[in-house]
Amino acid sequence: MIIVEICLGSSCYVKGASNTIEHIRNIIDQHQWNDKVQLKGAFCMGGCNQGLCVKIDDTLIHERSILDLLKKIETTIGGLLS
Amino acid sequence: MGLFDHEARQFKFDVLREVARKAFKGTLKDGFEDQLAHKLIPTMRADFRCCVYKEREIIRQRTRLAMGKSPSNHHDDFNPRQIVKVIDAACDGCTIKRIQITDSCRKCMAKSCVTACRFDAIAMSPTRAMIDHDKCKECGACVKSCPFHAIIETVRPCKASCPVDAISMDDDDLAVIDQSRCINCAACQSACPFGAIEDASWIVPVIELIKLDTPMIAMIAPSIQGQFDDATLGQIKAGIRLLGFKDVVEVATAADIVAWHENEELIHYMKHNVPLTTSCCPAFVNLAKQHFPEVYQKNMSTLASPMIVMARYLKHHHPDHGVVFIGPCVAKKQEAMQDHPNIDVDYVLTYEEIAAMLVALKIYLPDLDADKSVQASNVGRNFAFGGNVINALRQASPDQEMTFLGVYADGCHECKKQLQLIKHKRFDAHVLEGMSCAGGCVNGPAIIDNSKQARQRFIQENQANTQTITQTKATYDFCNIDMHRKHKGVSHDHR
Repeated sequence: MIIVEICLGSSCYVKGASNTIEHIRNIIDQHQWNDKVQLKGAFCMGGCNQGLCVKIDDTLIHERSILDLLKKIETTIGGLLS
Repeated sequence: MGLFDHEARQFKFDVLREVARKAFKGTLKDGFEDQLAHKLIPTMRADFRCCVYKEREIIRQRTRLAMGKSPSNHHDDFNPRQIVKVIDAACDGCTIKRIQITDSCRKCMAKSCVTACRFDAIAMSPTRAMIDHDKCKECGACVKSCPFHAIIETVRPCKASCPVDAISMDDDDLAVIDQSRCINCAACQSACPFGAIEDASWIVPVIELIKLDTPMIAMIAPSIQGQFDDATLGQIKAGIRLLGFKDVVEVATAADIVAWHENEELIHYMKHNVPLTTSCCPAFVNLAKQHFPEVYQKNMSTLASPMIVMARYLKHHHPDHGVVFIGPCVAKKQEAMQDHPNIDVDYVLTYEEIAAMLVALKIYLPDLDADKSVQASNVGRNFAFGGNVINALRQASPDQEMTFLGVYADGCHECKKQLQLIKHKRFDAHVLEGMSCAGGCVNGPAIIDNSKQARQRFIQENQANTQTITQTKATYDFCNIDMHRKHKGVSHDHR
C-alpha cells in the first residue's frame, strides 16, 4: 500500500493544501489506484519555504504550484506502481 | 440557536457553523463565501446595514476569515502570524470627533466651557455651544467644566481598547492594525460594536485532518468548564471526542506541573533579587517581548506555557498524533505558530469554533455520557481565573513556609503599568502575574458564556475534585519534557 501524506500544517494550509485533497482523490480514481494508494493527513513536515508538501512512502516532495504538485504526485505514484 | 446577544457575534457563529458543516460533509470549496452570503442574507430587506449588498459582502469577508483566508481578496500583506484582522466591509468607519457638544447644552449664561478652553475652540452660537474642531486640541478641559455634563469625550472603541496603540484609521476612516505593534490580545475584537475585527479560524484544516482519519488529541483549557450551559466537564470531553478526536485531555494537568517548576524558578529569582513575571498568557508575553524587551529578557519566566508543555508531553508519548488546543484565547493561535517550523501545537480552536462544530454535527452535550476522568487538581484548573497563578505558586511550594509578595495585573492596561514599574526598577514585589484579559481567561475574547452562572457551574463542579498537585505529578511523568520557552532571549545572568 502506497501511503500519500498531505501536509495540512498551517503554512501549507494557507497556501491551499486542502484544495489538493479532492484533486489527488480524482487522480487516484482516474487511474483506479484505490486499492493501492492510501491518502492520509499529516502535520508540518518542515518544508514550508519550498511550497506545498506531500510525502509519498516517506519521500518528501514539494512544489510551489498546485498543478506542479499534482503532476509530480501522479508521476511518482505511477513510477512506484510500474 | 441564539448564543449571542451581540448580533455580529451571532453572524460570526452562523458563518463558522455553516463552514464547519460543509467541511464535515466534504463539500467545502473555494468560492463558498458567495453561496453563504446569499444563504444568510436571503431577502432584499437590510436589517443591519445600509443595504443587503453590504450585508452580503460582510458575510463574504467573514466566511473567508472562517476559512483561514484574508477577509478581502488582496493577499499583499497576508501574515499568518497576525491572527486578529479587520473585516473592511464591516468596519463602520466610526468617525468620532473626540470632544462633542450634545443636546444637553442649554446655552447657559455661565459659559464655563468657553472660559475653560485655552485654545479658543469653543464659541456660543445662537442655539448652543459649538466646537471648532480645527482648533480643538482634545484636552478635555471643557468636558470637566460643563455643569450639565453636556460635553462628551468619545474615542472609537477599537482604538480605545488597544493597550499598545496599534490601531489607526486609513484615508477612508477604516481601522488599520499595525502588525508590528499588535500583540494579538483581541481587545479590539471584543470592543468593536460592529464585530468588524475578528480572529482568523483554523476549523477547516482541523476538520480536513479529522476526515482523513488523522489521529488527533484535543487539549482543553481549564476555562472550558461551565461554558456550555449545564453540560458537565465530562460531557464536554465526550462531545469533543465525538467531533473526531482520539482523546481529550486537560491542559490543567500541565498547569499543575508548570506551577511546581515555576515555584523553583521563583526561589531562584528571589535569591538574586530579580522580579519574575509569569509566561502563561501569550498576549502578556507579546506585550513584554514587543514593547518592554528588556523586561522580557531579564524578568520573564523561562518556562513555556501549560499549553506548550502539555503539547510536548503528548507528542512525546504519541509522536504521530496531531495536537489541537481548545481555548478562549486568540493570542494562543499566534503562540502556537511562533516557533514554526518547530511545532508543538498543530492547531488552536476557540470555544466559539468548537460550539459551531458541535452544532454542525448536531451533537447535543447534555445527552452524552460523561467522560469522568480527572486529570488535574483544582490548582491547575483554577488557572482559568485571574490571580490564580500566584495562588498556584503558593500551593505548589514544597516548603509550605515559603512566603513571597505577588502582584496580579488584571487586564492589559494594568499589565503595562506593572511592566513599566519593573522596567524602572520600582516594582516592589517578587512576582508579577500578567493576564491580558481582565478577570483572567474566563473573560477571553472567544468565550461563549461570561456570566456569573458559568462561573458558579465551574466552582460547583470542582468542589468534588480532590486531586492534589502531588498526585498529578505522580500520575504524569514530565521528566523528559522540555519545560522551557524557545525564545528565551539571553541566558540569565542576574545583575
